[in-house]
Amino acid sequence: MGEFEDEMRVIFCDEATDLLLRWESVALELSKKVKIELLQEIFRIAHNLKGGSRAIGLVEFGNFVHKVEDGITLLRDEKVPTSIKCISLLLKAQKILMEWITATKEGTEYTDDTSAFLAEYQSAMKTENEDKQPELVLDSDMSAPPSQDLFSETPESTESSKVVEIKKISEPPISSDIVATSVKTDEPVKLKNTKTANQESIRVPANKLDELAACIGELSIHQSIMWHLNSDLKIKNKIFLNSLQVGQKLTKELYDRALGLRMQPIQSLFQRLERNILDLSQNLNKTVKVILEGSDVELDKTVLDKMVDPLTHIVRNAIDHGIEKNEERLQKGKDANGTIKISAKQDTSGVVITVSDDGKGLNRSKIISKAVEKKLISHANNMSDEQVLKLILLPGFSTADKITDVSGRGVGMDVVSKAIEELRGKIHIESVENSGSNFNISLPTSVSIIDGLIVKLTDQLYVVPVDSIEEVINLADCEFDNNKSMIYLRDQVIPIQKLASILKHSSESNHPKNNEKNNESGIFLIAKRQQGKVAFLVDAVLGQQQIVVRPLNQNISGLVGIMGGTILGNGEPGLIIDMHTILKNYVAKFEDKELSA
Amino acid sequence: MNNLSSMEVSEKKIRDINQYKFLVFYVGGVQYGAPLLTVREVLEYQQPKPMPNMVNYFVGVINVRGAIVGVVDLRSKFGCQEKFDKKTAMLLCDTDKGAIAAIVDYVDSVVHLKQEDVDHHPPVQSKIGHEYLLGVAKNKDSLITIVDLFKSLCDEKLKIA
Repeated sequence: MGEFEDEMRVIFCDEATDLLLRWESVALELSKKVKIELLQEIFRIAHNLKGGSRAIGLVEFGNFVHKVEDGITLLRDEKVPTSIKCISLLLKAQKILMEWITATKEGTEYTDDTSAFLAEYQSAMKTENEDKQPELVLDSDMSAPPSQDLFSETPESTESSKVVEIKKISEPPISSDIVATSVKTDEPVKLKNTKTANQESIRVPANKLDELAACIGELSIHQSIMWHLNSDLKIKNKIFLNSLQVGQKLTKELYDRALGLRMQPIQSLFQRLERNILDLSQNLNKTVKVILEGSDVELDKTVLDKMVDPLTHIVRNAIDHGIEKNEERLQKGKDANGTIKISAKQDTSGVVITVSDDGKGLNRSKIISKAVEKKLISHANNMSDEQVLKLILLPGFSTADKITDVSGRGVGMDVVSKAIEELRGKIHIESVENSGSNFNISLPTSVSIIDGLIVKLTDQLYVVPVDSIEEVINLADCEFDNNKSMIYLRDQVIPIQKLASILKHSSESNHPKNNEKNNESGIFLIAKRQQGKVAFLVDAVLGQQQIVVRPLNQNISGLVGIMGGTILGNGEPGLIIDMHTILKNYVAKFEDKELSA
Repeated sequence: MNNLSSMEVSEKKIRDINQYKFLVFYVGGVQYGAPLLTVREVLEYQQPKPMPNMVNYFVGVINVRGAIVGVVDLRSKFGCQEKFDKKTAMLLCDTDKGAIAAIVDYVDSVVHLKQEDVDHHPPVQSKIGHEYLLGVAKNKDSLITIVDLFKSLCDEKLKIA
């Protein structure tokens, strides 16, 4: 009995979360343009929430929603004009409900007092009722035929014009279809939402998808084992070869589709950011316009989840430090409203997310003096602009003169670089003083498939992710210094590191000869880091192929320099080398020793 | 007893039956046993792929149907000679930290012992650490050293660095 109730509760909470996210997106939509069908949708959402919560015995929750719903009814029936204040109250209600649901899901009682909010809400919904008399406007518009022009001619932002607009849409019932189509044409985001609503969907736990992907991954490994075997055995049977080929093709397609199941449009992330910007800019009394582009670009769910915090930090920083106060902006001859543009686009290697603002930009000399003060660098001679800007990503760096609760504790931007590094993405910062800054983040679409170089090292095969390597050079083509500890490459001096001396095998310590041999042949993998390039010596590079990354279990994970494993084409396990941690943990240590010596 | 559903009864039965079943195997020529349910499966020996910066008895990783599993050579862990022949086998165990495999000389049999034949606190001197011992059991005319595979395989730090 109890189990059944628990299950019902979880189902309700999942559904409620979806509904509340929709609530948020509709409310955000409303804040741009008030439309009657948006209000109707919020009303429907509230109604569903109320019904669902009462069904599982959440009476308090239901009562709260009921009171909010009363207000929405007034807005919908135009007894009260939908002002910016009302919308922000609707968003506030959504936040309370979200917290309530989270508490319920965890099995705890929601105890926060909602009466203060309700009082504010109810008074907001009442006073304005007396101020205006919407009935008059409604009557005057009754006869006007609905058309698309009605939408375009309404200017934004002023309250009264919004009221007018509502009346225009609230036409006799026959018009509802036409209104819907006109919405579709002028708003692509809305179109997408209506589309997904019509599609039937099934809720599936994420781990089931992972299992499916892992299973198909295994299948594709065996497929490639068969392929290798076939070339060894030289089977000539045509039917066999055909079916092998078709099988391989199908497996690949199956695999792509299974991975596609984990892909989600970036829209949900954008919605959260937009909400954040709205809340924060109101707190700071700045007016900020948000432009979102490419919200239908898809990313792996893991990547999406991990990007929430870093992007929130960037956006908050942009509002707090980047965008100036309205008066200051006017003085500088800019539009009083700041603009933040967040865009996502697909590119050959993955997805690029760009956050740009038109604020005051990052101040080079301020960054340098702060970095010197915090002992992050000793001087900034010869540092390029890009290098200077990247200093803000270091832990413990904060240029805010005052600590605010918005940003400025010096944690934050290093969270950004850490999260992006974890996802093997890259961040690129540009900034022009007084015209704004630009954060460019490129991410891989999926974390489970990478392009890898198959590398031979002390008779073992390893995988090195292609994106961590700048270039590959044959040892024979290199110019050395006298000690053979550096190479010269296009006027650059690059120190050499033997990868074999970092990734040591216990059996080899008995045979030190192994490390000494092969000084005449080999391949250098050039990797780049902030302080310059490093050339890693490996025995040979055998090829490049797509690698399915498999996590290592706890018994063998956590090794410095190894980020995961994979099954190679011949069925043997292979280890994937993590160049970032090797550069950080080993190369840095070696250099410290050299300096102190 | 009436309160127990039939499923619970059968589960309990299985547990009771298996509690005194042991997998008997040889490490360095010595007979050892492990509680049967601590071993998920017995695998044919396959050449592990070495992993860098690990202790010497951690010999590498293998591919078990697509999963990457670490391998400990119990012979070198227990300080015995490692020899490989057709009978060399791997015991795959599911520990709290994930699957791990142990190399043993060979797997002998599964024995079903009586409760009174198993001594859980034997005052014995053994070649292997006391912390890995679960007890000693009498099987016909021989003694089986019962080892805790989970502890033997992953109680220590496997990494050098």
